Amino acid sequence: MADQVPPAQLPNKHVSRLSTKLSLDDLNLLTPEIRKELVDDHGLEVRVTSRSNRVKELLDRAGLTATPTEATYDKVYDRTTPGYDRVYDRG
Amino acid sequence: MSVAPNKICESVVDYLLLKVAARCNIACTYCYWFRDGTVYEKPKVMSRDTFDELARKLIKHVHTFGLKTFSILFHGGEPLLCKKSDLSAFCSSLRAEESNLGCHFRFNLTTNGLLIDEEWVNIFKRFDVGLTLSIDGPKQIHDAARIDFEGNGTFDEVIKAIEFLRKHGIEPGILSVCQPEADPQDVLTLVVDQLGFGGFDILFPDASHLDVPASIAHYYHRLFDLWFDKYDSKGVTVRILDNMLLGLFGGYSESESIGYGPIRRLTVLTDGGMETLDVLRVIGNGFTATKLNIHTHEVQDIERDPLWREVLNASLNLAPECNHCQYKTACGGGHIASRWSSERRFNNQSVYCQDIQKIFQHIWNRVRPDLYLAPTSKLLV
Repeated sequence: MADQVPPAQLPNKHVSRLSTKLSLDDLNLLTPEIRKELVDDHGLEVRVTSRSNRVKELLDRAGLTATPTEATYDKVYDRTTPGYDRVYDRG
Repeated sequence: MSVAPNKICESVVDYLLLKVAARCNIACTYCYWFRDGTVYEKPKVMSRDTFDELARKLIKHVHTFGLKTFSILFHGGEPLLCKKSDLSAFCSSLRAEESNLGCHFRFNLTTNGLLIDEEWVNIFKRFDVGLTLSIDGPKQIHDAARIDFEGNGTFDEVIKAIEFLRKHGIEPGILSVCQPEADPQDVLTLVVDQLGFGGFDILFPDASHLDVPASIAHYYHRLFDLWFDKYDSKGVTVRILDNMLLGLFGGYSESESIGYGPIRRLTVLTDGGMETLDVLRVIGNGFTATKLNIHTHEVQDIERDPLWREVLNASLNLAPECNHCQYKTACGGGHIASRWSSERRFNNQSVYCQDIQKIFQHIWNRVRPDLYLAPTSKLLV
């Protein structure tokens, strides 16, 4: 994954524009910490979304590039029912 | 004595691939299982004794680690070759302990469908066994590789199996394997337009650096375009595409084929033998063999197997070339088996690395124009 940019270096375009052409690096910048900073320091809550419903769902599942802890690894066998949901039970 | 949840090791086995049969009733040309000739040394099906011992060990394991869910995939060969009474008894014994254990056992079964009958359907319903059927596409695609021992295609039988299951109120999942020379539109037409499934998966063909697999980039480019342009709006999902998108967005794939994360699979064979990922049999005869057996060891003892530890380590520590890749987390080195070489073992990029990078780039190029930042409440202008 691309190295994270410290919050202080977050380009202004993410704050001042309503929408922007996103790069993969931009997505990677939107960690929970940076999003929290956007809210706390700039009063701006943003979410990445898409015109595609499925893409939107997957963005939500990804937590907008939230950095998961090791505890959220949850891999399934591929040779099973596609879409089989597993619940990570270690709270 | 239960282990307190906050002390649970991240490598605790909570998912079992259970080989209830070591033989198959058909002879798919690409099958990884029979690439390893030692499978013929195993009992054809799991015995009642082994089922019973495994059930005892699983109950003990779940209790020891305080697990709330435990998943079992019944597999083969062809799992429906095993004795119905034995599989039923196994499922029954685990289900009977669920409330005592505070654990739910999730049962799934992957089958070629040819042996499904009313008795099996009753078993699936009684024990809530999720079903997946393998179908690679329309008749000319499916029958090119999924053949019986006389070389005859099996497509017609699989369709009958799907109809039979639906008639009895069971909606199976659908699993396909990419055939690079085919057109994915044909697969979508069959599975979605004709058979009416709302989702399915298309796996990469199993291969390692010992092989020279055909390129799959063009296939998945086209698959993605078709899904994104025509089928996404209908609510159709393709699991491999979901997992690749999830990875691109910084989430973690739930798939063993793509995406970064620990591999801690346990496979139990028909004789009770314990091994890591069964797909690693593509590497060679006896590659996955251990000295561990459910008759003499505990479930978690798989941690003692050097290969199991090597796979776990490799899944978390990718090859040096991967560390600078922008798709490192989304890809995770691809399937662990695809990283194997005789020279460096798992310390390689995937044999599909170039293809995977192209596929990710293509997917990103297609979804990016549709992505935008949406302020949700307060707005700073």
